[in-house]
Order: sequence, then C-alpha cells, then structure tokens
Amino acid sequence: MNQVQNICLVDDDDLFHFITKKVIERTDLVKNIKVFYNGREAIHFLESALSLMEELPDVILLDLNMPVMDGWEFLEEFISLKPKLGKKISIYIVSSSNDPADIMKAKSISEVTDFVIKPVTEAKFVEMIQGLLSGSGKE
Amino acid sequence: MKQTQLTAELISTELLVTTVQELSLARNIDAVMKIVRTVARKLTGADGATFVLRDGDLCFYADEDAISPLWKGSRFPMETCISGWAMLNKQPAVIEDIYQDDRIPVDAYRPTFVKSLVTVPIRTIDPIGAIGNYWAKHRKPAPQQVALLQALADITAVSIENIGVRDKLKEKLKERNKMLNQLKVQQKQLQEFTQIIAHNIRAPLSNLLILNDLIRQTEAINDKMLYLEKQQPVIDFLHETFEELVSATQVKADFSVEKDHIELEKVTNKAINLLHGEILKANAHITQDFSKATTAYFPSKYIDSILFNLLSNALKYRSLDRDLQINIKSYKKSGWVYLEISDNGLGIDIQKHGDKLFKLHKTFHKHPEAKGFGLFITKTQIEAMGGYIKVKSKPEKGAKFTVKLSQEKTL
Repeated sequence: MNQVQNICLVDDDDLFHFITKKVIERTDLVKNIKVFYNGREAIHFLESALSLMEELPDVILLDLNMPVMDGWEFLEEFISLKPKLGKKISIYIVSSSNDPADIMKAKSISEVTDFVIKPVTEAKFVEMIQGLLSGSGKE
Repeated sequence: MKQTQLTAELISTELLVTTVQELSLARNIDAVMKIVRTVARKLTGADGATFVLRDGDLCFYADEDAISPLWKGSRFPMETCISGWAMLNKQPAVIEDIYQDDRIPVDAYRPTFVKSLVTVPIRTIDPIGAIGNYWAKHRKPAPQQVALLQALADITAVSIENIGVRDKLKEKLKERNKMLNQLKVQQKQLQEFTQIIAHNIRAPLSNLLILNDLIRQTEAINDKMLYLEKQQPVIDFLHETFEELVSATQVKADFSVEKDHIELEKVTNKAINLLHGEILKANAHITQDFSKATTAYFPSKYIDSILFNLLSNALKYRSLDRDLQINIKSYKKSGWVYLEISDNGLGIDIQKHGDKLFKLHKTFHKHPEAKGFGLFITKTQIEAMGGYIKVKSKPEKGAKFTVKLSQEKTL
C-alpha cells in the first residue's frame, strides 16, 4: 500500500484548506481529502461514519486554535469515540503554535501521532505519510 | 561616701544597658525621645531633661521631662541657645550658674526653675540634636554625670540613625515591590505577545510560504495567477495585524498618559456616531443613563477606543433572532466611577472561555470580523489606568461588561 485512502483537515482557516489540498494533491499520496472548520464538525462526521470504512479517515490533520470546538476539545471527544470507530486513525496536530506547553501536552496524548508546526510543506507532508505507511508512526 | 557613689554608678550603668535594649526596639523618633527624655533625667538625678532636635538654623525643643514646664514645642536660633552651642561646638556645655554664663539667654530661663545645666550633643560628628539636664539648685555637675549623659546621647544618635536607615530601607523595599509587580505584569504581557506572534503571524506567514512554493512549482499560468490572488488577503491581514500589534504595544508603553475630564454622555455619543451605520444595520436600540456619574477622569483617547470597542463588540456579536438592545450606564462605588454596557446578543460561555476572553486574538465566534484585538486593547487601556474590566455572560443571554474606570476623588 503506497497511498492513504482518506485524510481529514480540521482547521478554521479557508486558505489553509486550499493550499494544503494543493500540497497533498501534488504528492499523490492521498486519495480523498475532506475538510472541516472546527472540532465539532469533524466529530459529527466521525459519529455519522462510525463503521463506514470507506468514509472514515486514515489521517486527521488537526489544528488547535479553532472556534466552537478547539483541537484539545476535539481530542477529548475523539478519545471517548475511539472504541466505536472501525478504523485506526492517526492524528497529527498541525498548529502555528510552537509553545512548548502545547507540544508537551500533545505528546502526552497517545492518540496524537505527532505535533507538526505550520507550514506543512510538501517535503514535511511526504515525510509524515511515509512514516505512517512504513509503520513507524506512534500508535 | 565612696560606697554610695559606686552604687550610684552601678545603677546608672544598669539603666544605660536597659536603655540600649529599649532603644533597639524603638521604631520611630517619637519612641526614641520618650525613652531618652525620661532616662536622661533619671541617669543624673536632674530636675529636668529636654530632648532637642536640630531644625535647620533652629533648635527645636521636641520633648521634655521636668518638675515644671521648660520649652517643649519652642524653637530658638542655634546661635542664642545653649543646645545650639553644644551642637555647633560639638561638645558638652557644663554650666554651674546660668546667670553667670554669657552663652545663656537669661530671659528664656527666668520663668523656669533652672539654675544649673549640662547639655550634650547627639552625635559628635555633625550633631542632629542635644540632650539637656537641668537643676533647680546651684550645683557643679560631676564629670561622670556629663560622661553618662554623653553616652546616652551617643546611643540615641545610633538609634536615630538606625531608624533613618530602616525607614529608607522600607521605602526602597516598597519601591522595589512596586517595580517587581510592574515587571510581573509586563512579563505576562510579553508572554501574551510571544503567543500572538506564534499564533497570528506564523499562521498567515506559513500560508504565504506555501503559496510561494506553489507559485514557483506550478507551470500553468492560470494556477500561478490563482495563487497570487490568494496571497493578497493574507498580506493585507498580516499588515493589519502588524499595525494593531503596534498600537497595542503603544498602550503598554504609555503608562504615564495624561488624563482628561470626560463627559461620559458626550464621549458615548461620539462612539455611537462613529458606529452609526452599523447601528442602523443592526436596528439596535441604545439606552444611556449617566445620572449617577456624569464625568470621569481618564485619557480621552482611551475612553474613545474603549467605548468604540465595547459598542462595536455588542454590534458584531448580536443575535440575528432578536433586535439588538444595548444599555449603557454609569455609577459610583467606593470612590470609583464604573461604566456598564450590557446587550442581549449572542453571549459567551464564560465558564469555558472566561480566562481567554481578553487575550489577543482569541475569538469565540465563527465570525468573519472576529480578530480579537478590541477587547485586548480595551483591557490593557483600563488596566493601565488602575481599573479593571469584567464580563458576565451566558450563551444566547447577552453580555454585560463592567468597567472600573476612574477614581472619583481626582475629579
């Protein structure tokens, strides 16, 4: 397998959606890209697709600072939802924060595979997905 | 005879030791004087003792303990007063018969019981005062008595100096604590600024970086044009953010800004006029009541910006389900003027967001204009003037902002 089926972007920034889609498309490593504007929207989607393997994402790129439901709140809900999910989902926090406190907090959550500081360049994204495909990503 | 003198000397020494201990506990000059004037009299068995302080060119008879009143509360020129002589000559004056000594201004002594006296300077280098002993009968004070009195004056000098040092230290400590608190506030603000740079500059900047990558990597001219267009709002946003950051920094540096007399109704109407278009669009109804406090003492550019921000905040976060109602009022409490602005808008979940509400670029609504600068600057301006801003709110129940604005007494 050398391609990821589904990826979700959870970020309140339109432009981030646009350019990250472009970057991801250029790598040809992902089949489908879905976007959400906050944690609440993403959780709603996951709840509606609990066992729909075709629909569920393999990877979520999660922003931290979002209105309505931020990244941390999303993670809390995600953890309680996880047992019902039919698929292993890797979550990358993608943030413009380089606050050590945020990074520490992220590392302490086992559902978080890694903490990526924006910008998400093509090279960074390829590295991320290759790590995941070769199974070196944190469980 | 020899035995009695020895006993008397022992008692005096003991008295001096006790006095040293008592003086070491004295925390102000009044306490020192009270101790010294009593001891001075006991020490030599005199009929009266005075405590004199140098007050520029005058001798101030600050305190006394005597069989009948001397000169407590009076001031005499240094040159015409025997205490002044002791201070100026930096040595004791011993006078057996005051009416035979031309250093004594006899007129001042006639109403008193005094016939003989000893006065010693407090601190021999650059004296700060004198201690006087007085007798109702002619007598020649013994050298031991003069020595004892001088010893007392020396201890007194040390005590007074210690009090001075302690007071100065206290003052310095207070100053330092004030500075420390200010530093703490500034450190917190600096941390906030670092966070803003991280959150609000890096995000658009990284978008620009990627767009730039895409422009360079794309062959198709149409795509290049599209990416270029996408850059424009990011650049505008960065520019705006930068300008707002600069103005926020100016508030912080501007702690010494001058205050003005503010007519609350006038400045409120000014802000309302500036927001006229928005108010019409929102069909907002605004009530004002400044009857309880009509004026305040506050920098006028700050009050303009505070009212503008709070009002535009209410307009921005109005509920589309109901007409916007804004109530503005002022009142006085515990010597301060308060301003209260409440609305029936969207409201905020305080329990969830309370601590972040006034931070830079924290926004709680998915709203295109929510940049989060307004409340941050408002809070900074109010706090720079010693007040505070508090908010009560519930989602869908509107918000009430209370501003502790200015001290009433400076009006």
